[in-house]
Amino acid sequence: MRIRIRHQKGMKMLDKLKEKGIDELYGDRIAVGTSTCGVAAGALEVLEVLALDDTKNVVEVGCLGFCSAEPLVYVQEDGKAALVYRNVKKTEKIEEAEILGWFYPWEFSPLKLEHPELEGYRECPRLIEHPFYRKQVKIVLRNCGIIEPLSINQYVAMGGYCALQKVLEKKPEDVVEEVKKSGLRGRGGAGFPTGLKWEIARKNEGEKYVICNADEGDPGAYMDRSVLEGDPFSVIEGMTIGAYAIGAELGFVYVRNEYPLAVKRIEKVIEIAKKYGFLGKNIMNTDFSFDIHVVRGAGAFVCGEETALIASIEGYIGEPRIRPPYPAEKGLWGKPTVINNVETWANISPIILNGWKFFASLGTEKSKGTKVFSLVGKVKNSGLIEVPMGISLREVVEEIGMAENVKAVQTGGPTGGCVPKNLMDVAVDYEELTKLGSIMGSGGMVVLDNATCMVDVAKYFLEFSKIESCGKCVPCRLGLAEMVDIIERITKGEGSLNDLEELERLADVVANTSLCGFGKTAPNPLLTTLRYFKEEYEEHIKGVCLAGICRALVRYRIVEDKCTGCGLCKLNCPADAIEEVDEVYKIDDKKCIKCGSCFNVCKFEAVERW
Amino acid sequence: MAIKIEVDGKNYEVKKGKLLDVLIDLGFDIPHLCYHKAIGSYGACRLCLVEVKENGDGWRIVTSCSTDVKEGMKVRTKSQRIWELRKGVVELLANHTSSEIVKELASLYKIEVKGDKKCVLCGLCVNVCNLIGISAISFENRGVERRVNAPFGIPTEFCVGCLACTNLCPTGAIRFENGKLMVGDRVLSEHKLLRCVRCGKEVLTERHYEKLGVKDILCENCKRLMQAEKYFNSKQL
Repeated sequence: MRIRIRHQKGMKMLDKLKEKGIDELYGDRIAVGTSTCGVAAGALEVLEVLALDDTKNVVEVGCLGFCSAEPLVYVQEDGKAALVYRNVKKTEKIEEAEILGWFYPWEFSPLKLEHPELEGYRECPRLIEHPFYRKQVKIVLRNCGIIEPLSINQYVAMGGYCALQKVLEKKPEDVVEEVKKSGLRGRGGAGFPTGLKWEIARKNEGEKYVICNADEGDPGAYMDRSVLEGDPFSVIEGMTIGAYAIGAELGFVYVRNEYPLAVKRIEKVIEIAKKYGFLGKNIMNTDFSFDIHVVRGAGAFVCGEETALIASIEGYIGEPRIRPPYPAEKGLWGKPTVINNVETWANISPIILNGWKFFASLGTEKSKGTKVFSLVGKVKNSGLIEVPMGISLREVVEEIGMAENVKAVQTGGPTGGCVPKNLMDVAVDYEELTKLGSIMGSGGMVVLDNATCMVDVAKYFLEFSKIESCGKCVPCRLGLAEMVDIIERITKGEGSLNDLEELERLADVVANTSLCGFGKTAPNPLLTTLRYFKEEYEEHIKGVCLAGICRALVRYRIVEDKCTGCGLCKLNCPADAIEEVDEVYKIDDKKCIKCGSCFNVCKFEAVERW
Repeated sequence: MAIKIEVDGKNYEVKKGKLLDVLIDLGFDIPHLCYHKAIGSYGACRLCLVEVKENGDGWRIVTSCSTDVKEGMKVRTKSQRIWELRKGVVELLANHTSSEIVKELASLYKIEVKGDKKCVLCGLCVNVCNLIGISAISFENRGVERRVNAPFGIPTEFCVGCLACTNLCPTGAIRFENGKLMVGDRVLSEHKLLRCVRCGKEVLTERHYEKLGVKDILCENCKRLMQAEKYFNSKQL
């Protein structure tokens, strides 16, 4: 396909949009982060209160990433930079909230942007010096929390659609080459080189498709959701560039229906992009046409696996198919299809704009660029972070997350593994994590502290995988179920040492004979906990759960001498298992559900766990 | 053109195709439940595992049903590793199902059969139904709950009763009894049976009869008899 630029109308339009966007972005405004995480923390109530003052320009933006500080509100007024307030409550005046720091709206973006000069604040710290932000390098999240997600003006002012314009003047094969050289690898988890995938699809003839995989389902991970909610244009621009590069005219965003805001936003930006000629027929007045449809996933975890996702779009049951042929050769409806994750697509336009060298200069030898992680669990600072590949897990957890008493970090989602504290110096890249028995996955990072029972963690993830297995192939369907049975037995104190061998044997069969990547990695939580925390399994077999998590193995009692008779335990007992006898309290073992509420609330350490 | 491959240390010249077909033609005993030459690879049973080595790469474990034979390919069908993994899969099947074919496989690996269900979810019934354009039956549920059923559990009128499914089923789990297509105690489709106009034997279902568009309903025996009559009349014996 040869693309001819008919006239310069496209460029003029970009300039116009940019001008408007700069005014909007750097003028007076109060921005409230109303992504799903913000909403959950009460951002909509805060927004409602702020919006009562109609002299102010109150706007909704995506997520700045710092979820434990939500609701986040920042104020840009009188030619000054943005001043961020954290944990804002609807009842307080904005100035009374705690200040998190200040930032220039352009400073997170790696792109060279036109902007007016804004004055900083001397009296309070800069956001980029906050431990949570200090080590971050934002490429994918460059616009999240900065722009209003549905504003094309602001997206263009942040460098949006300049990459597409640049691409349309190039030969498609040069675009593929650029992505190839950048070293970008698939951010969905497997880490296949994106440029290579595009090249294979480009070389195949006929009708082709591009797909954005937004079927994010890992417990505790929400990288894709945040990008779709906070910067949806970047995803569709990436897809448009990909479509041009491989020669596709139709694309699909497969997004799970449990992300209603993301679905709404992506549908809306597709509409807007079409109106402005960035999608649809004759994009930016060239011969190139491309359209995107949104397909909503019905909530099967395995539909995040590319062949299952394709089957689901085709209208079949979402179950994986045999590979090869890979989708890049025979994908959707048997046609060459490039399927990339949300984060991968969002990386494309900065790579094009700043050049492959910029991207390849970040990261390690084999893993280039940055990676977004959702840092959750037992951390002080939780949220979405974007760090260069190769950063050590310890820096992420202890410096960014400011976690204490770490026992292990679970990376890579439910089919990832647990990296123990003593190995946390590992560099975060695809190969290094695999060596430890874990995986990069799509970017879940759950920090576990000393109060965690590792057997219980393995049980949780195995149960998740058992339920989410599609059931097509024998080892994944039946093997995971048997593993769950055994590990349940162990957490009840009914296990034996033979069970550990049996678990390892089953894990070997499931990992090496399953049809798709899900089954192949599903035993990881078990294998890594067995590898690094075997003593905890042995303790459970002896009937002890030191962390006090496995209910069948713990009992609670109240020590009479320490009990002051305050009754707090009785008040908090959900099972009505605590009785007052002669001014002290006693636990009725028969009624006790071992939730540990009494243990946690007692101020006098009178409740004992044994 | 002949392709040269090496299997278990011996050289063979074979035609192109799926490795499983090639190995079976060569006389190797490769267990499989979900593969049928006419249906193609599905990849569900994971029994036809072999080790292959191509170019300079190391040995890889693959399902032979989904692997194309290639020039110079080396194959191991009986290695310790294959035995371990295959045994692992058979054991899982034997713990949950108990059809004749699973019992046979289990006895090869000296495994006790503890399961009670028949269906191994090989998918041949569902796949053949799709392939011949009927698409009446399907899988439902996920994971261990997965089973073959009519969509939404309502007996389907799309089934014509051709019985391609029951004929392909390796375990006898899907069956046709008294005009009902069944798996376990689930009725997937109900049919009115039509009788042979000559002898009165139940021959085929009403919907199959309509689909075939033939004039008279005749059983196979009566058809032969009628042909025989024609033959004798033509010879004017």
